[in-house]
Amino acid sequence: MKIRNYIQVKTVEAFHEAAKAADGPITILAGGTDVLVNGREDDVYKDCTVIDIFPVEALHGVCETENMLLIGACTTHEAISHDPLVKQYAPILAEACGAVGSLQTRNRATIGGNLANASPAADTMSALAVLHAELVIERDGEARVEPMTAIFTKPYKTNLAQNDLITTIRVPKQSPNVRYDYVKVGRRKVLSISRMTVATLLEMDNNGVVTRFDMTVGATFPRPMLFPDISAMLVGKRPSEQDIIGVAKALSDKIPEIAGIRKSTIYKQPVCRNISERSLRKLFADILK
Amino acid sequence: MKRPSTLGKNIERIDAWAKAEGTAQYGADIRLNNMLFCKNVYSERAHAKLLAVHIGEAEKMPGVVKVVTGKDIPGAKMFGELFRDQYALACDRVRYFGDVIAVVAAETQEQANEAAKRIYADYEDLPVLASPKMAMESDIAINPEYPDNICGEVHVNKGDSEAALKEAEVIVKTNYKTHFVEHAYLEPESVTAVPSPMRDEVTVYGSMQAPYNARISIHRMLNIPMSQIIFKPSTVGGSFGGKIETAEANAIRVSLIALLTKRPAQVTLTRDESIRESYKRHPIEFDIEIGAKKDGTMTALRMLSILDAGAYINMSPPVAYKTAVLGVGPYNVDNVHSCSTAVLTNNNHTGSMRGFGTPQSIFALENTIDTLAAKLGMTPTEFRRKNLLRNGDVSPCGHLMDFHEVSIVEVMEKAAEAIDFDRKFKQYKEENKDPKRRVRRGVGISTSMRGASVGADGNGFDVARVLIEVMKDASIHTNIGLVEIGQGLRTVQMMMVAEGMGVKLDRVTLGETDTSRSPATGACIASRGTMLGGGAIADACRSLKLILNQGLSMKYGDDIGEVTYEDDRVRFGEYDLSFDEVVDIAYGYNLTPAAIGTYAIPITDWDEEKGYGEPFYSYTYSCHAAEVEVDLDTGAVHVVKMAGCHDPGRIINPQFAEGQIYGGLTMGQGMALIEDLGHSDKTAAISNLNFNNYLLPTAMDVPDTNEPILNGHPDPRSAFGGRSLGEPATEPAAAAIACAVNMALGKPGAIKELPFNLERVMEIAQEIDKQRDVDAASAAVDKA
Amino acid sequence: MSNIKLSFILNRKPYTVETDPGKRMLDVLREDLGLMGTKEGCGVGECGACTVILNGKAVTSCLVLAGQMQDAEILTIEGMRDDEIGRVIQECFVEGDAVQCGFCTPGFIMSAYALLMENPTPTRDEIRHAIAGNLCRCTGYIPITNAIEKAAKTLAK
Repeated sequence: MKIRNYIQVKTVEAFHEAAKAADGPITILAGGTDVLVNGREDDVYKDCTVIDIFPVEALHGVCETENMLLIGACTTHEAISHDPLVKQYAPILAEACGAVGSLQTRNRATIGGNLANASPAADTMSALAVLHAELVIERDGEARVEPMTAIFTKPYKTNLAQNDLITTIRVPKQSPNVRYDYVKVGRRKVLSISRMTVATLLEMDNNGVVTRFDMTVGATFPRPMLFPDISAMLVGKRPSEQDIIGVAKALSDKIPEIAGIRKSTIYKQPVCRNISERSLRKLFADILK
Repeated sequence: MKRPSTLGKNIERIDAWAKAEGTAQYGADIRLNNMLFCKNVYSERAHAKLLAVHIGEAEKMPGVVKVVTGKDIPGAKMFGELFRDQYALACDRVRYFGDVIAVVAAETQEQANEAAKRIYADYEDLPVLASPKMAMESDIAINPEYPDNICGEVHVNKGDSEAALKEAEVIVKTNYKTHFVEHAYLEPESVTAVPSPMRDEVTVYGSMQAPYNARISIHRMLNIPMSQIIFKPSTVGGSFGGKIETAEANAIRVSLIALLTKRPAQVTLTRDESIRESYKRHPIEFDIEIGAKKDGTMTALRMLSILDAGAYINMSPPVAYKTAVLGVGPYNVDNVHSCSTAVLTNNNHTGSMRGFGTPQSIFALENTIDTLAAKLGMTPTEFRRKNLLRNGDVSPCGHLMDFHEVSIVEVMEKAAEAIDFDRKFKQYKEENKDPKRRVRRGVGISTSMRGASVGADGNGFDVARVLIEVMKDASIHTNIGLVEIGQGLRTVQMMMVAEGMGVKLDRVTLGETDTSRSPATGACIASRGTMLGGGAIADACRSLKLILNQGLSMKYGDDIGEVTYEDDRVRFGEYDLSFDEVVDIAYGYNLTPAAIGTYAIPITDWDEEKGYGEPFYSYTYSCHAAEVEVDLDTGAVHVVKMAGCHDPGRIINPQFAEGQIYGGLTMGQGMALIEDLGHSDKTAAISNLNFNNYLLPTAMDVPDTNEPILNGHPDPRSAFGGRSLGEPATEPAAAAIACAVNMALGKPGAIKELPFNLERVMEIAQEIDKQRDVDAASAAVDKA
Repeated sequence: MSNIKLSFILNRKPYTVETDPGKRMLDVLREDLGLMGTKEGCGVGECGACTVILNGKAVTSCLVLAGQMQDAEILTIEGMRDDEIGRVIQECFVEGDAVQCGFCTPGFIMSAYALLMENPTPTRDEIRHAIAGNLCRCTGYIPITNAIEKAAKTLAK
């Protein structure tokens, strides 16, 4: 791969310095699993200063505050999928991270890199969306927080500036009462790019009335999305079989609405409806009885 | 007394340690002093006149030593194993996206890659014929010698199929379609050519399955004597029929560069280049019609198949031969018409791939048979049990099967039993009627008879040779040109030499494959290595024993009588000598215990014009059975278990045989469900050029319960009793899965096109759901 | 770009090489160090033939930048011969006929090694998970799973 310069940094501060000092474009390298594929034959990074942030220890690992999980941007998918905090407070994310690629890829690919790459097919996007994850983004030492869904403009494009560094993924801790389901449809059992993911997160009160509900589809829309109108269909209700059918239909109808009618819609729309129904039946099994 | 034999034992693979330690040298591992690295430049058009190739800018790039184009080839411009219609470097036309228009040779790979980007060509576009249908309807000839674009036609005729279909009490008439499949050997092609400093001679290393064929091409195209073209294939990282013409084209190009620059030259394809350039499995469209009596007796079979040959003829006519003659299956049917037509298009050319035209036809035939069985109210096994060939029957092509054990019924029963087919078929059929069931289950079964080796379309040309020399230390050195491509052939060859000489295995040594040391032996193709190589080895052993016996006669007199070579001992009369002593005696009399063994498959009685007779000398019998789960919500198919039972004659090495079956089942699973090159029937381009979108089954996709079953009956027509397994091990697999999925979907033949991917299964699942809703509505009306 | 000095521990020995940090780790191993046991099958991290162990984790060396080898501990197939666990895995691959064409074999052995280092008593499903990132076109995987299972049992003795 042709690059202009390679700088390895060990702290976030050093990154900012290196980013400032670089003349010309910079490319942030974390696990490298996207950068090395993109840079394989063409000279896309020829003029770039590659700043390798993988050695920044502060960007690795998961810690917690009272309400939040703080996931370092360079934490690998494999690490997240086994992390005890993530498994306890955001198990849907552990599951989604475990669904990514091969073990070799998960050992290298980072959650921050995955977000910055902005592939609409990324397995974690739907899970992060329903978790209402936020990103801590640093530019030149100044940090800001944005909803995870806000950085994406179109497939493989974000509104991040080149010296913006995603440092932390903030995931609200989920109470043990939260129910979730994550479904990935791929062409083979592992190592496949998602044909579709459906992520669902919900909470109910003691009477089975839904107090919170988020459900979205991944690998289908140009960017990860949340749907307040879908959430509203169940919140405040004790769901019936009819409600479930209604939500699944409404969610699957988003596909032609947002992505337009494409060749893949013939497949994706009914499948979305089917697996949404299946997910919801599973999640509400005790309520529907 | 039955003596112990090397055959039938699990002898360890002779190259396994080198491979496990990573020291085995594959093509791309070769590094030589002063070696040039090459980069191919591919056509940007699927079909065009090539007006000019501009290489000036590239030639000036740093490190570039040579750029070659078609003009630089001094001799014949085209190559091909059977038909010489393919440019190694395009001259005046490009016929598919994999044509190479120039090659850059530079000091480093990076320099070669950089320079290659600066080569461009002027084209005059021609209409792109991206399917056989387009090609047959077009006035444009891809190859002027074939004005209608048809490059091969083979037929089979037995009885009167038309009349029989008219009389048949039950008929199924249908059609099926298959797709391009990639060999997907894990090692992309790499070839290195090394020029001799002394003369016009080149030694070629690398991933070559058919070195003798390539030698002929280089001889013709580069004008050097055949003796001065030496092929020494490296360790080959998988082939499955795929490292013949593509590797050869690359060998021609780098040999040209090596001879022009007097420097070693290497080309290693990236995966994308390998998929772009290499030939594929033929996509085939089938029209098929089967007739039967009400009692289930199959009376007529008609199969018309159109094969997409792609841009070059390659192996299309012989592939069409196997589709036509083996596609009609192992059934006892009196009236048969089968016709296979190969059509040139601007797609990737198609050629040899494990199965060679039969996995497709078995898919079409076996699904049709399930449809017919259902119509007759029979289960798949009941129908097959009734109609499969038995000893003494006449095959669908007219071959009287009286020369070996026709074990197909037994083979089918064992495969069926391994997945508990009969019980599950009934159970699943019943439970799948439940409209609430979203994950349905199915079982499928498919059978085949595989002609061993090339077959009657190669009558007279199917020969193998070996050179064996007994050394002074009583080791037995074997040089054979049938290449190890991962199947364990070299180990099996050593076992057969030990058997043939009656000695212990560790006496046998094997030279690395080298065309300058081993006589021409044809290619390691058509599952012929064991049977043909075995025949040649047996012949050489006979000659060697005669030479050794001559020494014994010189020492012990002419009347020594019969000499036996067994258990590493040599016995005659009252004598019982060690093999070493016997070798000493021969060398003591200045004899030369070296022999070339030759074996040619006997010419079989096949009438090509009529399409009737003996299409092969012998056959391997196979049956695969599969159990699947089909998710009506997503269209996903989960393979629960596959079993493969085979009768490949004598089992020479059971562990290797099982290895072939495990691998064959998996290759069939990929073909059936997920492998797809993303071919466009408008542009002729393929979009899935790497393993991120050309998907192979992983360890998680393949059932851990897959079961290989060996049911060998030594074949009197083979020197060591062994026939073929490499191709049989995969040919019925895709069909078995397809039959199982269709059964789960409640209708044999529900899906008619491979692969059975998410979308195709989902389409049927939606039809099922629609029907369910209609049924529910009408039930509600009835109730009301 | 110009070369930089990279220091790392490879197969338990210290190495320093001067090389272009923009190269792939796979090329440093094969071209700069002549270690040809690590194979390239796809170049996009999908086939696993180039699997090595980097700081204890199985990774595809085609997707690691050379610069990222700095200060790393790396194990390749060449280091397995003199490693107790590596040797046993190799033996079980050879005996169990888990090797056919052999091109994928080094990658599988490295994945098996990473697994057994982390989990000495894997179930068959855990083995299949661990090797799911390694493609094999010859063996149908079962002989490989068997070999790794046997290696684990042998090592447990």
